[in-house]
Amino acid sequence: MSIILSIPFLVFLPLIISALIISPIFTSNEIVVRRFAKGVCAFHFLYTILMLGFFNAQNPYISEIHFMGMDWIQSLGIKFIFKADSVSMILCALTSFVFFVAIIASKFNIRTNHKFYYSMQFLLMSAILGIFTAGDMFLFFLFWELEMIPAYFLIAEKWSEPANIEFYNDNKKSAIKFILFTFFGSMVMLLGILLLHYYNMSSGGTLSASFSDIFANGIPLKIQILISTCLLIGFGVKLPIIPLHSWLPDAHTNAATPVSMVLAGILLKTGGYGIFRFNYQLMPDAFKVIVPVLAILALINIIYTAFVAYAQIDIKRIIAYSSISNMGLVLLGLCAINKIGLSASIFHMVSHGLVTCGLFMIAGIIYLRYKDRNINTLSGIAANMPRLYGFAVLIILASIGVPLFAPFVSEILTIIGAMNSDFSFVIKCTALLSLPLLILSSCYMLKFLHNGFFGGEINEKINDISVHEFIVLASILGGLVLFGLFPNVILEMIGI
Amino acid sequence: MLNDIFNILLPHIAIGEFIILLMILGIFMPLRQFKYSRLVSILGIVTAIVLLSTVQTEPQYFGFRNSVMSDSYTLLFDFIILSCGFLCAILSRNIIYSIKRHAYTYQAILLAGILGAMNIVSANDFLTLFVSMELMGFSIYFLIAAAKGYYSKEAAFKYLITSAVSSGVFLFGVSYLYGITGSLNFSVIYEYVTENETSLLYSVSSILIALGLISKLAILPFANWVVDVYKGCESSTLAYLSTIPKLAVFGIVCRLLVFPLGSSFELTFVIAILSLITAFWANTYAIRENNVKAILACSSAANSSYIMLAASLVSVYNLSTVIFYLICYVIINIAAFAYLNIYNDKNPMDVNSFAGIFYKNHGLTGAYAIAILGLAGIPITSGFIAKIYLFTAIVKSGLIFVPFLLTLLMLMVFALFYYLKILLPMFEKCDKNTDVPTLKAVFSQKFVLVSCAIIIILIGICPEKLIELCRFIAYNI
Amino acid sequence: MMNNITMYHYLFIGLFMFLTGFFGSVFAKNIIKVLISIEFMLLGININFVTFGTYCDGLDFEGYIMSLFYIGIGAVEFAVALYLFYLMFQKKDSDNIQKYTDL
Repeated sequence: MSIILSIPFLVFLPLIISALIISPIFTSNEIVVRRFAKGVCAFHFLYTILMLGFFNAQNPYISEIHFMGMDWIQSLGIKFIFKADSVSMILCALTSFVFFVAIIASKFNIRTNHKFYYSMQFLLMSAILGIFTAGDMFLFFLFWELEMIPAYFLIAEKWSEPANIEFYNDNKKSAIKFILFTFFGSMVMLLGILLLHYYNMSSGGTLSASFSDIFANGIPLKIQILISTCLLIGFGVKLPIIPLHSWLPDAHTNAATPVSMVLAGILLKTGGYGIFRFNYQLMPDAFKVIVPVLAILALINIIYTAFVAYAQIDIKRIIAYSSISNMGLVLLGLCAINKIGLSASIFHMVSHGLVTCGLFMIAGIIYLRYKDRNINTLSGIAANMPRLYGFAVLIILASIGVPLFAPFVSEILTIIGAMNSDFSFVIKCTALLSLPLLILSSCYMLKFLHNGFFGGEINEKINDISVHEFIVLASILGGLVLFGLFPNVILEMIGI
Repeated sequence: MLNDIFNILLPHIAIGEFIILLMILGIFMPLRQFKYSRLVSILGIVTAIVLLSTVQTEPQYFGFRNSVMSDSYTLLFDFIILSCGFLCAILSRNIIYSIKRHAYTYQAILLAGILGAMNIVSANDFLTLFVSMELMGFSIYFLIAAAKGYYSKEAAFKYLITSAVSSGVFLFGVSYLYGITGSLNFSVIYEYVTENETSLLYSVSSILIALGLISKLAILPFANWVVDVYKGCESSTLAYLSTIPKLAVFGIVCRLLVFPLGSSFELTFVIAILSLITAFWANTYAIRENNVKAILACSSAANSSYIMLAASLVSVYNLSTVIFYLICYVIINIAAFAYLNIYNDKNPMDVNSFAGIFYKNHGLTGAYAIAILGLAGIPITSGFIAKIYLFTAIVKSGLIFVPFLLTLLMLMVFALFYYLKILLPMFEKCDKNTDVPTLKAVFSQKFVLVSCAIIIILIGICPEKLIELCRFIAYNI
Repeated sequence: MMNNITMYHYLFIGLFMFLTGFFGSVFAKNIIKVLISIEFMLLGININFVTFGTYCDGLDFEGYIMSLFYIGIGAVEFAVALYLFYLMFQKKDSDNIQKYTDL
């Protein structure tokens, strides 16, 4: 079984497809390319589900690739090794799902340059899957860096015919901002990885960079804290933690709809995954020391950005700030350093991934019909598009944290986990103080719903959602309800 | 004497013979056969590469009253220098077509520079080092000035003045070192230094020597030439200028830092701080520039400062990383300048003049993009591996150097910014009205660009063999 | 009286000439002056070499050889510099270094 269900296939299939699509031998017919991409994504999703079905927490998937009989960089102990435990597998499945949904959603939003677009999407998919399954620090870093290239092009290009040229320049500026922030973060992270690699060896370990060979206990605590801080800055750019967040609203707002779905749905989760993998797992001692500071940052993330989101008038910006706010919750769950907090945090990554995907889809649909994203001028969507209205109400309720939907479970579990953390008083306080999030999120989301959807008059030209959009929204909603009713599906898999 | 020649000098002599041959041909060949000059010089380089197999490396061989030496380290550097010379000679097509009358002389000078560079690496004596450095320097002045127009002359003149001043500083340091130790030979100086207590004068003289040498690498204080000279150079000359002197001078500086100058602790700090300042200067300077050649000049200064920082923290491990980085960097640089050579120097070199060029020339521009991404250190290129490997060396040198490394890493964000400035306009879609040039490349130019790009990717995917080689070389110095 | 002249006197002259040349080459505004300053550096270094060759090196006289080489190479360098300057001068018709800032 292990031969058929292998991680390299999971990771490199999109890479190969990406190369295939961009190569000149592949047809440039729009419909063929799109159907091919959809088919590959569906296959990939099924394959991931299959892998998830055969997953065994005692015996996680591991595979190692050799080059000419040697490790990747043998003299530094760097291996080309993939390892997927339950967290990785869950996030892989989420990745596969979100890309599937995003590629279905691409039909109406992508008007030009199809080959390049789908190629870049698959490249990004491959890089993100690589991040989630890398079993070696440098391999992780490689995929982390590799992700920048497709992400840049996806954000910067004008995939639909431009309404005006100014929008296009905004795109490019925000893409450059994204790339510089990410690169800054990854450079600081590289310093952390290098230090960890060296001190792990010099404190009696082996010359190796794979996660299973890193034992940080022997490293002096001060250096551990230094390393941990460096890594946190790197992940904090992606997550984002508050002073490093300013790339996110621009990038999410200016990107095309499917791209925003991918960015908010998956890309932010790589930061949370990194904190879990490095700070939480490899260096628990240092993490315990810096957790109080981190918890306060998470609190600022949650509350401050919720207020900022309330002040926005652009739909996409509201959703972007709400996702920063939610990522603060993920961070808080990790800060709890107990089983409930951790599993809740992973669970919240999944549920927020689904919710934010749905929200961006709705925003995209509205923008496509009305050419407008300003909630003060939008009105009467409910009357024109009743089906969209139904989905929007449900998904917005889900994002607020109403029972029956997944975010309810994860938010409550996160806060319970943080309350139960028994080593620092600060965490409990932050957990208590972050409770207003539930109210604040309902404030800005209901403002969006109220201003945008009600009132106004019926406009005959506006069509209701098409089949493609229906499938996207329905599958997202299905996932939300599924995990809301049976949270144990994920919580048991994390095995905590 | 004859023994010495047959043991080490055969490749050098082959190059020398071909220089004489080219000069004779330059007198007697008819004008319209200028094209064959390139073939002759390529033939000479290939002969020298073949003859490298006769060089004795195990054990180390010292010849000509200990003034020249050979071991596996010099052999490797000779090989890389010759290969770079090979590629540069292939690229010199454009310039030869523009100076038909002097094509043979140009090739002779090009070979003379290679000869000087090879001699620098195998020098074991300050006299040999100085003479071969001047040989390389003179040939570079002429190569720069050979291009048509006023700019090349100004560039050559500026390079000449800085080289003259810096070689003066170098020799001043050498004179004091000679006074202290009573000899110009590296081995004797090394013996003297290890046996006796070192004085302040020793440190001062070694700092002066190092300053004089590293000015060729565009490290401050003598780094101001780099932008001006790169702007005024023809691109095939740039491929030459940015690889061969660098290889040669790094080759000898590493050896000097390990042996004769190794006992000076102050030198380490001076060089480390100077390279840090250079990295800062180069990276911030490049942000304002809009000329591709100027940006590449700053990047060359920045890259050599990274290498110099690792090389100054002397250890065998660092040496292996330095060699690896140099090899990767040289290949990337040749690819970048090969593209500029195809693009043709007559066109404006402003970053915006490349707008939309990707959509007319997919393959060539893609290869160039790989090279620039390699400079920026993006994965799957050799630059990524080289940077990681180099930085492990700096981390290993101690906790004091972590702030240095942090600064370098921050500067690489700036670096990414200006590399993007080169790259992004090429992928920009422009209106149908503006005419984007379709590049006309002959086979030889395509060969250089594409083969370099392939090597960049190959090293990026499986670097292990090359790293092993570098480690072997470094442990055998 | 001759006995009072030691090695250090020579070295002092060498140092003085070197510094004069160095600062001259850095600060001079006239190209010919820059070239002359470089020659000054050369002579200062040569005095050093000859001095050390006389006082510190009993066997090989490497210092003398070095200074001979340096005189030759310096002359060539000066010639090349003058030729390049001549080529530039044809365009600019000035010997002020601040005119030559096209790049």
